[in-house]
Parts: sequence; C-alpha cells; structure tokens
Amino acid sequence: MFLLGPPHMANSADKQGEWCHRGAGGRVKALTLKEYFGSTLAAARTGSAWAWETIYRDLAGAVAGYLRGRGAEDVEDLVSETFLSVAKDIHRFAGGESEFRSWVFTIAHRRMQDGWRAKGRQVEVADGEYAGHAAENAWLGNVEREAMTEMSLIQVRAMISHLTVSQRDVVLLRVVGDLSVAETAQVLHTSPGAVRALQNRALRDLRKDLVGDA
Amino acid sequence: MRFTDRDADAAISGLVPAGPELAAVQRALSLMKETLITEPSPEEVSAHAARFAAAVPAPGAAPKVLSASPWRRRVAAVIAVATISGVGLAGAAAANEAAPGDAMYGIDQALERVGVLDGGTGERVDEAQKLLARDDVDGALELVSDSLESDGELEAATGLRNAALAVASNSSGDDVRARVSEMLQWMAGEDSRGTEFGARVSARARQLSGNANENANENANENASKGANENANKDASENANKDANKDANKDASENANKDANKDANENANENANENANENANENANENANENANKGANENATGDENAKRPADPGSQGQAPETPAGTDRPVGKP
Repeated sequence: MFLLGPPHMANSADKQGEWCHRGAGGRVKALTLKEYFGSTLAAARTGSAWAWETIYRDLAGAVAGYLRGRGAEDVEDLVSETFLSVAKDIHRFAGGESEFRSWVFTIAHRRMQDGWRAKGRQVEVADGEYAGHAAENAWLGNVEREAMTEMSLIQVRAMISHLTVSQRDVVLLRVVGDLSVAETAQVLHTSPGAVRALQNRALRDLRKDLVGDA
Repeated sequence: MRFTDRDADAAISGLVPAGPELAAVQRALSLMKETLITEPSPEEVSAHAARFAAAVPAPGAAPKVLSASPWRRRVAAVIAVATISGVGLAGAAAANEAAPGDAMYGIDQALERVGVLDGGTGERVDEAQKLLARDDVDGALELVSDSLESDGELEAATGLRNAALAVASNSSGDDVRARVSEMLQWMAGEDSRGTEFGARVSARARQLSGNANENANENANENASKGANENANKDASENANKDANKDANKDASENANKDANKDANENANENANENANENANENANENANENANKGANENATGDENAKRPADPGSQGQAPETPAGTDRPVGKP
C-alpha cells in the first residue's frame, strides 16, 4: 500500500524561483488554446514572442511532468531542447491543436529516449556507480532544488514502479499530458486499441496495489 | 475486477467521479498529476519564449517540400548528367561507398536525389554499417531511424530506437556495436515494408530487449554468485581460522594443562618415588646399619666373652666362630 499524502509542492514556487506549481487544491487541468490556436500558431511561425510565451506556458508544465514521471534526467534541459526543436520545425507542422500537442510530446519522448541511450552507453561512471543507479538518483532530482518535492516524487515513483514502461508511458501521457487515447497512440506510434489495452491493464494493476485485491 | 472504458476514462481524466472500483485509483492519479506538473514562472516563460522566437527560421529560409513536377524531373536529369560528367562513373561508384562524414557523401546524396544511385533505407543501413565500423553507434542509429521516418516507417523507427535503448542499457562498448549491427543487418534483409515491417521491427526490439534483460540478469546472478562464493569462502576461511585458532588455543591450553598435570604427576611420582626410595633406602640402611651394628655388637659381645678367661673349671679353649654372625656362639 502506498502513502498518498498531500503533495509537498504547494509553496515550492517561492523557494525554487524557477518553477512553480499550479496549486495543490483540485484537479490540474492543462490549458488549451482552442479557437486561439490558429492565430497563435501563425504568430509563432513569424517569431512572435507573445505566441511562444503562450505555447510554452500552455505545454511546458505538462511536458516537464511527463518527463519527470518517466524518470528523465535534466528535465528542464530536455523541455528546453524540445521547444527549440518545435521552434526550428514549426514551418513543417500542419494540423490543429490536438496534433500540435501530440507532436510536441512526440519530440519530448524522442529526446528522452536519446538521453537514455546516450546515458546507457556509459554503463559505469567514473566513481563506479552504475548508470542506472545514477539515473535513478538523479530522477529524485537535485536535493537542494527539489527538497520540497522529494517525498511526493518518491510516492509517485512507488505508485507507478510496478507498471511496465509502456503502461507508464500511457498513464503519464494520458494523465499528466492530458492527451486523448488517439493522441497518445500517435506519440507512441501504436494503435488506439493498444493504448486502451495498456491503460486498462495499468489501472487494474494500480488498483491492485492501492486497494489490495485483484 | 471489471470496469468499463468510460470508468477508465473518468479515472484518467479526473473530471467526473469514477465508479467505486476505480475511485482510489482516480485519487492517486490526481495526486500524481499535481505532484508532477509544474508551471514555469513568468520570468522563465519570458526568457525561454524569447529564445524560441529567435530560433524560428525566417519564412524565406523555411525548407519547402519539393513537388515532383515535370520541371523538377527535367532539372534533376540535367543535374544527373552534369554530376556524372563531373565525377565520372568511377567517381559515382566511389561516392556510393561513402558514409556520413566522408568527403564524397555529399555527392552520394546528390546522385541519390536525382536517381542515379539507389537511396532509401537500404542504402542508409549500408552506410550505418560503415559508421558502426568506425564506432559511431549513435550516428548509425540516427541515420537509419531518420531515414525510416522519412519513408513513413514510424513504427519501425520507434522499434529501432527502443531496441538500441534496450541494448545500450544492458551492454557496453563492442557488445552494443555488435548487437546494433546485427539488428541493422536483419532490417536490411527484411523484404516487408509498411505496417508489417514496423510490427516485425518492434517484435525484434522486444526480443532484443528481453535478451538484454536476461543477459543483465545473468550477469547480475553471476556477480551475485561470485560475490556470495567469495563471501562464503572468506567467511569459511575466517571461520576456519577462527575455529583453528580457537581449537589451537583450546588444545594448547588443554595440552598445557595436561602436560602440566602430567609433569606435575610425574614430578610428584618421581619425587614420591625418590622420597620413598630415599626413605626406603634410608630405612633399609638404617635397619641394616642397626642390624649390622646390633650384630656387630652382639659379636663384639661374643668376642668379649671369648676373650674372657675361661671358667677355671673348664679344660681347653672355646671353638672360634666367624665374626659377624648373629648367632651367639660360645655361649654356655
């Protein structure tokens, strides 16, 4: 049974200075631009700062949350690289807001995999600590910076640790990324049916761990 | 436990209460989301937005998708003729052998674009093998996965990345190169394309991932066994030494005690014997002396009697007896 106390991040914004939490009370809902998306995208293609502020504010938190949930290292760097790629390729994008969100998460997912691959090649680091352990430790974040959130991250880690990697991807993209089944399937290059199967299996496993019965 | 897709979506979205089966899961997922999602501060948003806005290519510099118009084909044909005239057939063949980073690689790509040389994923896989031979695993993977994505083989590209990730996580150095090379060779030999190809690459990636995990587990077990054996040997040696020392000490103590006791007994016996002998001798001597003295005295008395003048009424001398005999002689 996992400890699921209230998150310790409510006031982390003042202490961290860089990231702030959306708020501990109630459900976190990703922003959507809806009818403003077209004009925002058009402005972003011209290099308009306000458009990029809107896009970044809308998606950066969820992208960082997904990467953090998946145990990526250097989350802020990965988020930054993701949006730089989006900026460089913005002229090649075609589609609506739903496709845009899928595209951004696809790039983030790929960047994370590249990061793991690069890390995985250095199996053992200089001080003898295995890369996996180093990554795991780093997953918990910088101690000073993440002091306020460490307990919550440990709880999240414990909660999803029994899920397979694919199940984790689906749950995090669906819950943290606020992506639909179809959008999640696009990011993971699989079918909506496969996403739904993974999602349902993950929920069953989570319930089993939380409640204790099958 | 059974729940509907609607219940599952409700638990995931958190917007409507999930059924009783998934209520606990819904609460846990909401907490997870609150924990993981952070919103960038206004300062960070401004700073990053300026960078991203500056990174957007100018509209004129944006890459345009080339259409396969008749004009394009004509221009391509002209370029092909010009290129072959420039580099010659031998040069074209040499360019075909080039890999990324080689001087001729630009010509290779130019010839592929106009259809003089074969392009596509097959060609990229061959080039990737050359990069692998130069130990550039990342370059090889990027080359092939980019090519697969360009060909619309998204699932295969993802499968290849996953396979590489699985191998890299559990292997190192030459092993990674060998496994990636093996995967690419297998891909080059595959005739299927499209969804089937993607599914086969994904299946192969899963197999590779499974093997990699098994190897990792095997290594872990080996190390664990080795460690356990080493520890066991160490412990055994330590215990043996400890026991040996303990036994040795015990034996030494016992032997010492035994020896001491033995010596003490022996000494005691010896002393006792010595004393006894001494005493016995002394006693014997004493007795002997006493007897001897007594005898001697007694004899001496006899002598004295013999020396005494004979009774005036007797005739002649008394017969002589040997000295030292206990039996008084000459006694009337």
